[in-house]
Amino acid sequence: MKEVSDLAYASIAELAPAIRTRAVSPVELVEALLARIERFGVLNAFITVTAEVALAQAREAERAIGRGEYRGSLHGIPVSLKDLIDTRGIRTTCGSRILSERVPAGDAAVAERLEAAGAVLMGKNAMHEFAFGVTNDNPHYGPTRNPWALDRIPGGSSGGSGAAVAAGLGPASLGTDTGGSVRIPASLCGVVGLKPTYGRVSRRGVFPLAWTLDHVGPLTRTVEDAAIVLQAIAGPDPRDPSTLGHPVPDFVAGSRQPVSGLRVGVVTDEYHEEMAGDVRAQFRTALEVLTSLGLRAEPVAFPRPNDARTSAFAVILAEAASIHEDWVRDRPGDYGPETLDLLRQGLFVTATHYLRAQKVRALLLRAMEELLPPYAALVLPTTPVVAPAIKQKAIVLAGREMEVRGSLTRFTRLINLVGLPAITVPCGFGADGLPVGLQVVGRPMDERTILAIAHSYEQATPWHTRRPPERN
Amino acid sequence: MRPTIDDLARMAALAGVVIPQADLERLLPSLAGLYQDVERLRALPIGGVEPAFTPEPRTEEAREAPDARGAERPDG
Repeated sequence: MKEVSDLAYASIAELAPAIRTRAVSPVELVEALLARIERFGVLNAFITVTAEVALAQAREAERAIGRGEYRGSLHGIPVSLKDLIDTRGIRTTCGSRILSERVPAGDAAVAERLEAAGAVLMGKNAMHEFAFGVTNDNPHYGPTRNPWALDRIPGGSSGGSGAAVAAGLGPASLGTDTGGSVRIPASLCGVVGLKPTYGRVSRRGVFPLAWTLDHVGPLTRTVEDAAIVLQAIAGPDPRDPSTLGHPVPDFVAGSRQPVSGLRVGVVTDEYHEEMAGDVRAQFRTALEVLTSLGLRAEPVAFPRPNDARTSAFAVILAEAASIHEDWVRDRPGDYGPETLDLLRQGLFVTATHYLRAQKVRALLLRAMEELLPPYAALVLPTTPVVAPAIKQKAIVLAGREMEVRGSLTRFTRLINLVGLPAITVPCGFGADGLPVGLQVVGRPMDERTILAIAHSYEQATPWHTRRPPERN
Repeated sequence: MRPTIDDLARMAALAGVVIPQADLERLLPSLAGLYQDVERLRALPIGGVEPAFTPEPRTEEAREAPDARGAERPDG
């Protein structure tokens, strides 16, 4: 049996064979992680810890494996879910007061798939209220803290997922990404975050923020683990028509493909040049590593980034306002002030505004179809700054003061509008020893190539082996 | 078009939502900025473009098929 601290930071790829051969007991693993979750309570990474469920599932996994009924790489592996992913019989709050007592009658599609794969549910991760923000400073459940520095945000809206995975409270969590909410916390917490192509993973049973921008994806400590989790959750779901007609390839094998000789576009237009000096330095070093791996990096310009940003913001405001319309009218006092302001803004986006934004999206999709074919992927930083302080409202970037939300979503939100797959992988540390992320954006339905590039980069660098401070 | 507080109050009333005057005043600068940005989108060549609605990007095989998404359609 490994030491507990090693178990806490073991990857799924390391744990799976040990569980299969019974060198590691799922029950002992769960017990160790539950103790660790308690010890790291200061992070506020969970809204609900499902200790009894986890122990029961771990015992069942252990028995099944003992009978020779091993189900695969996730059997007996602890996972957690952002608290807007429905779990049958387990409170699912969406980080809100409005749904604070809601207990779903059924599982989300992704929860069903993880359970079918034998994964063990450790709990429901803290999140920004209704996923509408990137700080995870939740007015109802308190702020989630960054494991690398407790006075910093973990990013959001899947901030509890990022903090939990970074702190070794479990090897994987599922989050959602509407404007960067998987990639931003993964980047700020120094872990891997994968937003699959729109339509790759079912959103059934996941509380929406904006239907046409929402994606579900894993946060893990290694790229290979992201591939393993994606393998389990991807695939057609008749009850989410966006997923139909897309065959599921072998992502784990794909992540091991050679990358030498691939062309990558380095996004270097004026809009994407606005980043802090520490992020720029780490990004440039990352590009040198990619080049040393045989990738051919060439500058490219993202089409109409400012127009894309405006369109994405109009779409998210309008769709979120529609989803929340009744509660905004009847229960405004039950929202935090920041969320309520955004939802109210959405009420003033007119139908013609919304449709204009969706027309621009069509234009951008066509522009991306023209831009992407020569390239295996595009690369850019995940966020233009490292983790801001909790309660910090603004960031100065290129001499301009920007809202924290606008700044952190600057390099991620546009990718949701065009639905492309994107992964963030740790690429070093910036100011105050805080993590920086490298974002790799792929062609439609080609998660395999971005997994391969990210995996090659990860294996050539030490960043994924670094751990945040232990807590006693 | 730059919205006024009265515009916002009327729109909120039409939507059946009561928003205190002080809150509308706080929202006004953000909304004015948004309206200005969305107004600028009119300058793009979107006249005959059908809205995308979902971001399903097309794979290379699908792109070769006729009726590619985002293709301009004749007005009317």
